[in-house]
Amino acid sequence: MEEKIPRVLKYLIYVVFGVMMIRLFYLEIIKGEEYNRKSMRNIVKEIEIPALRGRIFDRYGKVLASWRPGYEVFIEDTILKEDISIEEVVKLEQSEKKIYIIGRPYRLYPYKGIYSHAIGWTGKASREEILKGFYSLGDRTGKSGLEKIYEGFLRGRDGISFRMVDAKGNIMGQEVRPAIAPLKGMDIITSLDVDMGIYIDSLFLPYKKGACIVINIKNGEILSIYSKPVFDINILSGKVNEKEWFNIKNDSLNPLLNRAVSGVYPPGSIFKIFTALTGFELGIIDTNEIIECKGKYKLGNRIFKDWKKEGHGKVNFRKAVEVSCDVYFYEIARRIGLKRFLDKLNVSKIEEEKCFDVFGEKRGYFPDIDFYYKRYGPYGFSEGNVLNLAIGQGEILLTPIQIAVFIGQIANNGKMVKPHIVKKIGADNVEIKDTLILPFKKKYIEIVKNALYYVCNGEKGTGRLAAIEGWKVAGKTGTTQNPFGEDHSLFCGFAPFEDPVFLVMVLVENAGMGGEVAAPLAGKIFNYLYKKWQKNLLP
Amino acid sequence: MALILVIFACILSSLTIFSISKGKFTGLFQKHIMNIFFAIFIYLLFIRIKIPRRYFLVYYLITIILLLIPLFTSPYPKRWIKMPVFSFQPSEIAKVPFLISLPVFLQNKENVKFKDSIYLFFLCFLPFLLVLIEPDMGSSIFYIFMFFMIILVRKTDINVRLFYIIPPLSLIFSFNYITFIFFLIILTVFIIYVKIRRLFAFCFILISIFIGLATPFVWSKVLKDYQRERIKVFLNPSLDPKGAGWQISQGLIAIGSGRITGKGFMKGMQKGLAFLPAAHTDFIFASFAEEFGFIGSSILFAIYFLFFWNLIFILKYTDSFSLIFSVMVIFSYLYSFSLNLGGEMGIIPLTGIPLPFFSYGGTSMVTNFLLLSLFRNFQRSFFYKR
Repeated sequence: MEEKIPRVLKYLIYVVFGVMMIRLFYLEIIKGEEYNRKSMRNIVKEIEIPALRGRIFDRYGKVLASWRPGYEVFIEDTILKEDISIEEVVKLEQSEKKIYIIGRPYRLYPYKGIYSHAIGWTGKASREEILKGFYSLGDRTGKSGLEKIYEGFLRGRDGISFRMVDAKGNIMGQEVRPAIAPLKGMDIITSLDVDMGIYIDSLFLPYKKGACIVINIKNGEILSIYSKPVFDINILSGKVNEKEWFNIKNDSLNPLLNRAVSGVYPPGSIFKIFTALTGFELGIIDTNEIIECKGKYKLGNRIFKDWKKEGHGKVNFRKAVEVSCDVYFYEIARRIGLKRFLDKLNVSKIEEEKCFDVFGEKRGYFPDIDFYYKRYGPYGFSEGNVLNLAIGQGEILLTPIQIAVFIGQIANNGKMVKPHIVKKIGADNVEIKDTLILPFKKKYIEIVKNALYYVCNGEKGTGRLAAIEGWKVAGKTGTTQNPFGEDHSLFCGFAPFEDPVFLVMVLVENAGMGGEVAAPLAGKIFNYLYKKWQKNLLP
Repeated sequence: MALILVIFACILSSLTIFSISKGKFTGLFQKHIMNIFFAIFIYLLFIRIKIPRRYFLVYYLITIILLLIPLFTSPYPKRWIKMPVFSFQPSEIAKVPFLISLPVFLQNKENVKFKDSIYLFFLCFLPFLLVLIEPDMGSSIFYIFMFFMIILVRKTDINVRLFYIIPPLSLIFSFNYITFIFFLIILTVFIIYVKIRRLFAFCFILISIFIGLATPFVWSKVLKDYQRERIKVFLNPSLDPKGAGWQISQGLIAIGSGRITGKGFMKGMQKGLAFLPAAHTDFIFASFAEEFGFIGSSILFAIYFLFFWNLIFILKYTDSFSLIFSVMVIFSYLYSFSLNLGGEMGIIPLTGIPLPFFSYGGTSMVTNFLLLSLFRNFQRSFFYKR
C-alpha cells in the first residue's frame, strides 16, 4: 500500500522558518541600532589622558612649578601602582595583561621649598571630588596655595582615548575612535621673585621660625612671601613617601603653617602707630607736647614698665616713635580710654583678611568690650588694660600680612591695593583694583609716616639697623613678649621714603629685640631691593 | 541539489570559522576544513552501500552501547569517546543507528497500536535517559522528540496520541493556572470534536486535571528551594546571569549589531574579544550574523530553506522503511536547526545543539552528512532493488 508523505512536515518547516525570519528581522532591523550601541559600549573603554597642568612662573619667568613624567598603572579601575618609571612599566606590561597604563605628569617644583606655602601643592583628588564627577580616580588637584586657588585655570581638560577591550577587560591596544586630545592648563605668571626668596632663605638660616613679606605698595604685588621653616613640596606631588609626610606633619616647628598669613602674633610696638593715629583723630595728641619718661607709668595702684628701665627722658611725639617709648603711649592710651580705643580698633578693619590669592589666610584678633566682660567679669578689668593694648601687647593678635598692609597703607597715604601674587593667567594680565582703606585722616597719617622716618634714621632710632645707603628707609620695630620663650622680633618698613614703593615685613620668632634681629634683616633685604632697582629689574 | 546547498552552507561556515580564528589557516580553520572533507568522504562512501533493513536489535544495541561507553570512560561531562587518533560525541553519531533502528521496528506495522506505542516509547526513553545523565539536555530531548514525531506522522489511533500528548502538555501549562484553564477548555472542546469514547475522554480530562493540580503542589511544597532553582536554570539557562544568561545576551548583541549589511567579513568584534565564548559552536550563527547582517543571514536561511524544500521535493514513497527513515532525517535536521537558532536568537532556552552543516565539530558534521547520504541512498534504493 502506498503511503502519503505527511503534510505536517511542510507546515512545520514553514512555521520554523517564518518564526526565524521574524525574529531575525526584529533583532537586526528593528533592534539593530540598540544592539550596535551595546556592542560598542561592550568593547570600548574610555581611558583618561591627563592634561598637563599649567606651569607657575615667577616675575622673571623662572619656573616655580612645572611637571615631570610619571606613569600610573590601573587594574580594573583601581590604581595598582603610581608614579613609577618607564622601566617598571615595561616589566609590568609583560607580566600582566589586564592592566592599563596612563602617563601622568606629576608636579615638579625646581626650587623645592622656596615659596612652598604660597605655591601650594597637589595631591590625589578626594573621594568626594570624584563622586561629584569633577575628577576621576588618580587625578591630581590643587590642595593648597596657588595650586588650589587657581585650580580651575591650571588644571586644563583631560583627554580621553577609546581603547578596545575584550570580554575579560584586557586592553587590546587598538584605538576604536580617535582620541580626544587633552587641553593643557593655563600658565600662571606670578609677581614672586624666586631669587629674592633664595636670598631671604639664606638670611633666615640662623633662625628656626619666622616670616618675611615683600610687597610693592604701589600695586599690591607680593614679591616675596616667605615662611620658615620650609619643606620640599616635591614629596607631595608624586607617590607620597608616607614616612617623610608623617615627619612633616608632626614636626614641632610646624612647617605646614604659612606664618606670613596664618601665624598670629601680638604686633608689639608697631601697634603704637595705631594708638598714635587714634590719639590724633581724637585730638588728644599735640606733636609738641613733651612727656617725661622715667621708665615707669603709674595708673591707679598698678605700675606699667617701659621696655627701657632707666626711661627715655623727655620725649615729644616724634621722639617717642623714634625710640618706641612705652610711657608716652601709656599716657596717650589713658587719655583715649578703653572704650574709645576698642571702638576705633573694631572699625579699623586691620584684623581682616587682606590678600587676594594667598591660601590659608587667617583673621587676626581684636578684642571688644564684650570680650572683657566675658573674660574678667564686669569689675575684673579696668582702664589699665588699654595701656597694654596701646603698645600692641595683650589680646591683640595679627598676622604678619595684616601688619604689613597696615604699614603699607600708612606709607601709601592711607590706602593700598589688595596684596596679590598673580600677574598673568595664560595671556591675560590680571589687574587687581580692590583697595584697602585705612579709616584715618590723611594729615594724621602723614604725621605718623614722617615719625617713622626717624625710627630708622634718628640718632636713637630703634630701627637704625634697617637703614641702608642709597635709600631713605622708614619703618617701625616691634618686640613681642612671648610667654613660651624669647621675644619675637618684628620689623616693618618701607623705602624709598619720599615715594614709597617697597615694603618689607620681617618676623623672627624667639629671636629677641625687633631692632636687633628683624631690622638688620630688613636692611639687607632693602639693600637687595635697592641693587635690583638700580639695575631697573624692579619694580 | 541538497548536497550543493549543504556545501554552500559549509563554505559560509568556513568563512565564519576563518574569521573567528582571526585569519589563521592553521588550527581551528584547518581542522574545520578537514572535518568537512572527511564528512563528504563519508557521504560518498555510504551513498551506494546497501544497508541491511533487518536486525532491529543490532542497530538498537549499537545505539545503546555507543551511549553507554562515555558514561564509564569519559570524565565529566561524559559526552566524549576518546580514541587514539580522534575523539567523538556518541550522542551525535548514535542518531544514525537509532534512526535506522526505528524504521526497522516500524516498517511492517501499518499503524501504531497501543502496545507498539509502549514499546516505542521505551525504545526512545532509554537513549533519552542515557544522554540526559551525561548530562546533555539538548541532545537527549532529540530521542523523545523522535517518539512524538513518529506517533504524529504514522497512522496512530487518536486515543494513543492523546494518551502521550496530554500529560506533557498539562505539565507545561500547569505552571500558570490561567493558561491551564485555557488549556483545559481547548482540550475538552477538542475531545468532544474528535468524538472518542466517553470513558477515554473522561479519563484524559481527569489525568489532565490531576497533573494540573499536582504540579503546583509538588513545585511549592515538595521541592526545596535549591531544587527549584536547579530546575529553573536547567530549563532556562539564561536565568544564570553569569553563565549562559550572559552568553545569550552577548549573542543577541552580536546578532543585532550586524544590522542590515553586517560589520563586514573579519570585522566582527564580539567573538574576537571573547564576548562570545562558544563562537564557533553554539553561537556560530551569532558570529556569522554579526559580520554579514540581515542580508547575509537571510541568504543563509534561504539556503537552509531550499535544502529542506529539496529534501521534501525528492521525498517519494518507495517503501515504508525508506519513507519513515527519510521523514525522521528531515525532522532530525529541523530539530537541530530550530533548537540552535532558536537558542541563539533567544526564542527558546539555550541547549547547545550544533547548527547542522555549519557549527564547528567533526562528529556533528559527519553525522549530518551521513544522514544525508543515507537519505539519498534509501530514496534511490528502489532503482537497484527492482
